[in-house]
Amino acid sequence: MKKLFFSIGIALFFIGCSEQNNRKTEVVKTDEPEEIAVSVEDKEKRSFYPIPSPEQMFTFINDNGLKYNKELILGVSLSGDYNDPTHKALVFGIYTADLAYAAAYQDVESTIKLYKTVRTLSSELNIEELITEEMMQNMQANMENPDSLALIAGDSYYRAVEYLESNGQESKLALMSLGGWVESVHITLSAMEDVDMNSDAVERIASQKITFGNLYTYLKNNEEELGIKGELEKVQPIRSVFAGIIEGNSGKAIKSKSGKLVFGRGKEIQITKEQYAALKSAIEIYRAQIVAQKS
Amino acid sequence: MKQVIFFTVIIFSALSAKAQIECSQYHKKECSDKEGVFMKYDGQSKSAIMAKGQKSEFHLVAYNAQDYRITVCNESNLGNEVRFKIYEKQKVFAKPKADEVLEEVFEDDGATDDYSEDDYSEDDYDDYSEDDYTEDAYSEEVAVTAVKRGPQFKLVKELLYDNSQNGYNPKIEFTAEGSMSLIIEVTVPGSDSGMKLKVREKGCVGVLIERTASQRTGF
Repeated sequence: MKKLFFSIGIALFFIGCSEQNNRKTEVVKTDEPEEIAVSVEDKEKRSFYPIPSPEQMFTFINDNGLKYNKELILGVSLSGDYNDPTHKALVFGIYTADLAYAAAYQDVESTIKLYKTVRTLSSELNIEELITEEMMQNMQANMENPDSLALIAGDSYYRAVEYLESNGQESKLALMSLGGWVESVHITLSAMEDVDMNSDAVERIASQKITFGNLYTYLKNNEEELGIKGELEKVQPIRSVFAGIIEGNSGKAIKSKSGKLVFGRGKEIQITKEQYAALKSAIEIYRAQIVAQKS
Repeated sequence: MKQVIFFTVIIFSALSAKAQIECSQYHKKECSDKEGVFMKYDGQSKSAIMAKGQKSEFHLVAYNAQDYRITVCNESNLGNEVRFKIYEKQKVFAKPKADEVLEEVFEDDGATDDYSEDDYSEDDYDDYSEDDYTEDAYSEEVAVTAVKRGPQFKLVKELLYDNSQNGYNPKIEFTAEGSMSLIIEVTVPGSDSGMKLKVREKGCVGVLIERTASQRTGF
């Protein structure tokens, strides 16, 4: 037992040292063996996939003049209806996207409500550290400054991503990301009235083929956990729509006359009216499946 | 003795987890350039612990009409010649002849630098390969080519930028004309020291991505 306390004490000492300024690794090194048994597997090539950020989508549609519609947000009263971990993580993603939406459009009242909802759900998912009491207070203090709401909401999303990645909870992160991505596309598609197929907003929707591709890969990489395999089956209709969307020619790096570096394509990712409608339908069906599966 | 080994493992696991968490914020703390044009933080930014001689890929989506700044920074023990290349992932339509072995169709065209198809095929992205994608939507093309034993599309990556050609400059700014799927391949210099790594051979590498809407010109 003494040995146990001694060892824990040493561990805490090392961790304490590592918390000091500038990562004083030389202090730690003196007591460490010359070599640490780290597998060569650590040196293998690793791939990191981007987690779609709802904040990025909503900033874009706001800048492009799409109107805010509060009705598109999932009611916060439903947040307590989901008990199984898979749906709780998906719904958590939906609410984080709703939070980003409300914050991007400076809907203070909804932002505060959603922030509380996200905090409760994160606690139930054992990731409560991502929204601290201090952050809640910060949010309350910034009600008078709507611009900062979006920043705080965005920051909490990135904290969630970092926390889950750092703690080996990639499966939860994958589901959260899926829920968040579906919600952000649902809101964007629903907010578009009199759709102009040549608009920047439609082009951004078509570009989601790339975003979804990365997300799909991330889900596949974690498919053995937390019911992800089942969700992969459910998103096949979305995948099929994207499969039909034509991508442009290859990218080239060009220096313009001003010396600016441009990565360009011959043509854009093109979505037809039919594909647009099919995507909207597939997204709505899948979102309805997530929301309906209370347990 | 067993207890000593057990607790040693616990100690280093704790340290490793701690380092991982600290490292996750590295790009925010160390990569930002306060002197450059103001750009928004992009959530695709990331940090990771890398070892000397290690190579990692960071996938990124660049959207049309956005200006991007990518800054790669690292802890000093990893040296000041961390190399990064930017590739674009793209699909190539292939029409293999009936008797050809599929791999022979996808020869490196030289534009992709030291990339080889074999390397890429090991990548996880293959799970999302275009041959899967073609099942429904590209069924007509499948019928035309009448090839049942292999994919008609293959993912390749084309080199767009290599910072070793620019004095290992850790920063690049570019405009995206068209949305594209990019890979930032980061390589930490140094050779493999054998089966074990020393602590000093590992460190944080951050990839900070910032963006802003490209300003349209003209009246």
